[in-house]
Amino acid sequence: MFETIWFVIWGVAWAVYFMLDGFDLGLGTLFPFLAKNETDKRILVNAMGPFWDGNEVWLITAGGVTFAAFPRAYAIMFSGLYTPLMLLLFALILRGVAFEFRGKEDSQAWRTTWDTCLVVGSFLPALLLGVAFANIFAGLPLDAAGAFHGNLFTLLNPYGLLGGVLFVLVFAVHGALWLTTRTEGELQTRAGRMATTLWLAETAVAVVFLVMTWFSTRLWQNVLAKPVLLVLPLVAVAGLLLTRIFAARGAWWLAWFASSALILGTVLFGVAGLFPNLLPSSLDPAASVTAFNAASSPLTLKIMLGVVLCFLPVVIGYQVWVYLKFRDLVTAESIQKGPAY
Amino acid sequence: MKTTDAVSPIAVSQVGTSLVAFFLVYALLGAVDFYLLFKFARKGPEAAPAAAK
Repeated sequence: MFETIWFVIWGVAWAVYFMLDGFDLGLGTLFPFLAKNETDKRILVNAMGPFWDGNEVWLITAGGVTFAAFPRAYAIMFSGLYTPLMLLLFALILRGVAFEFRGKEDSQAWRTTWDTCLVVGSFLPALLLGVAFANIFAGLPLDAAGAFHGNLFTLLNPYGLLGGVLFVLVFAVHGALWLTTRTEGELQTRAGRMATTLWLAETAVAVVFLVMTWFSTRLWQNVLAKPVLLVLPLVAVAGLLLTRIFAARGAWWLAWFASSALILGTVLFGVAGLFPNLLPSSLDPAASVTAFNAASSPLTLKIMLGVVLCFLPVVIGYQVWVYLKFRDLVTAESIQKGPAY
Repeated sequence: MKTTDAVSPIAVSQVGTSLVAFFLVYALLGAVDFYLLFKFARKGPEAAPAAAK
């Protein structure tokens, strides 16, 4: 039972991570296309500045949950996906520094350097995480000992790449919508137009991805075996459609929440479809890493559940506080006064 | 458990590349950081920023 509870926590941690960090990875990716001048650029950076590191706490949480609850899955995942995860790590290092460094020197070359780190460091994680998760959904070439029989290029199969493109597009729309809620005027209009344009591509890729998921993975079969779980893909589809409907009305916050529902629904659909597998094996189903053969001892799981139940509300509490504290719009005037990036 | 028993099944080249990458990236970012530390230390303290809202 504790294994199942921890499996759910594992899935929810990833889903919340993608919902939150998704908007700043997406906005970072769109940086050169949305920001026309230095003021725009600073507005974009300040629209993410107070939030991005708190969002990445959820990546640590998801990694930490894997490590503490499913150590065998952690070992196999971090060894098998070593190269893509290293690329992800370096991209996130350079991106994090870019936020802090870009405003520290009054030079165009300096700012361009860090802006480049920001864009590459936002695009690459979105792509890599999409490729990684699509491959996990489809199954990794793992043998019974958990050794990974492949390399970075094994992961770049059509379904994996489609997952990468889907993540980039979903995050881009999510990020553009975030900016519409954070600013006003011409930049807001531009971000709204960007979101609705990219929404078409997002929808096209999402439909192809859902169809390919039927042929490349066992997600649909697993979910159909427990029809109540169909609510998850339905939430995703409803979120996708409502994103466009709310965006057309200029109801930007609702559009952003609809986009969040799309992300939560999609990730939880994938996770529910995996159960009980954490890392299905494409070589031999018996070699799959599951919530049961990868779990820590029942006592560990029990103690940690208590820890999570005590501290998760604290984390959620301080994050809500940060979002409320920085709820004022970011504008050309607001970044002139007081501390800003 | 000895270190040799705990090693993951990953290629030496992968670990070597990431090790070199860590050295380079941290050396570079460390150098930039020291440059900024010196720059702002020389500049001296600024006037107190506007009171937080």
